[in-house]
Amino acid sequence: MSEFIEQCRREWKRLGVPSGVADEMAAELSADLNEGASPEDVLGRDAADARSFAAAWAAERGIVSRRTNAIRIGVLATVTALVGIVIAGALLALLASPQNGTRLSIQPDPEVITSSSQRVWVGSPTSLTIVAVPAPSPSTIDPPLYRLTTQSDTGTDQRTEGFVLLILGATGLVLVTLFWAASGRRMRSHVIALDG
Amino acid sequence: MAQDEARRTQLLRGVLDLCVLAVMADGPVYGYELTTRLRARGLSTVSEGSVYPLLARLEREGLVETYREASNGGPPRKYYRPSTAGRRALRAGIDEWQATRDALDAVLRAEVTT
Repeated sequence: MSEFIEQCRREWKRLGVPSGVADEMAAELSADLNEGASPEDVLGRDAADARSFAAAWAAERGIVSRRTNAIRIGVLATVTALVGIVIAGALLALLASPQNGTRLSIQPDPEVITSSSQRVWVGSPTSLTIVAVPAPSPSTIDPPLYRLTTQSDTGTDQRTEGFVLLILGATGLVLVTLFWAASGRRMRSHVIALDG
Repeated sequence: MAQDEARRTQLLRGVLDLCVLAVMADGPVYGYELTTRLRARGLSTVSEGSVYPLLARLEREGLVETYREASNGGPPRKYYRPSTAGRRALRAGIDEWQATRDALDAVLRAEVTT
């Protein structure tokens, strides 16, 4: 019998039931269980599932409703984020087609910056020497010597990223749905006051 | 057979709290005692373990009052009895039940006689 109460206590602790309330419920149950030879005598088939019994009791006392609401909000936020990921993944996978893919990029103008160094004349007019000096960095030249270029893009990378996002989002949605269904089943199984 | 039990369960579902209040009106009860009294009155489909959540709901709704009393050798027992609001709800519920039953009887009797 004490093992059944211990299981209930563990569930109440997991659900965040205040210890005073858990003590009260445990004492009530303990007094009643003393009357039967086993928990089955007092609780019937419900004795086989201490966690569901304890969760339903705490829920009906109105103790775990705030926690349940917090879980609901968390699940809703997670589902919203996952749906966003799925939509983003689907768009990426669909729109990044290899036929019309082009990518814009900014590159240093190759006609201006041709080498890492350039040669200049130094010295007097009668004695000129050619020395190599580093070419100016494109960023230090005013106006900047950049060119907007277009490059053909196969779209493969974006499509892969899209599919990865799609699979991750869909997997997450399935897991959240399973979690929500499992927790809802556990709570409902005892909220109904009769055996179904 | 299972269908019959399911139907009885469904029929009882809406009036179980009324039955619990009626049993308590005869005298205060603790959880396990309530189950045995309901069974003694023929409500054998009531799940024993569901009685505690049901009592908790009635207490939360202010329909029952509780107090503790020492038990034989064990920890003190928690007893339940209808509050003033609970007795009022019981009377209203009985009226409602009788009206519903009369209406249903009229429909079902008509079906039997045709």
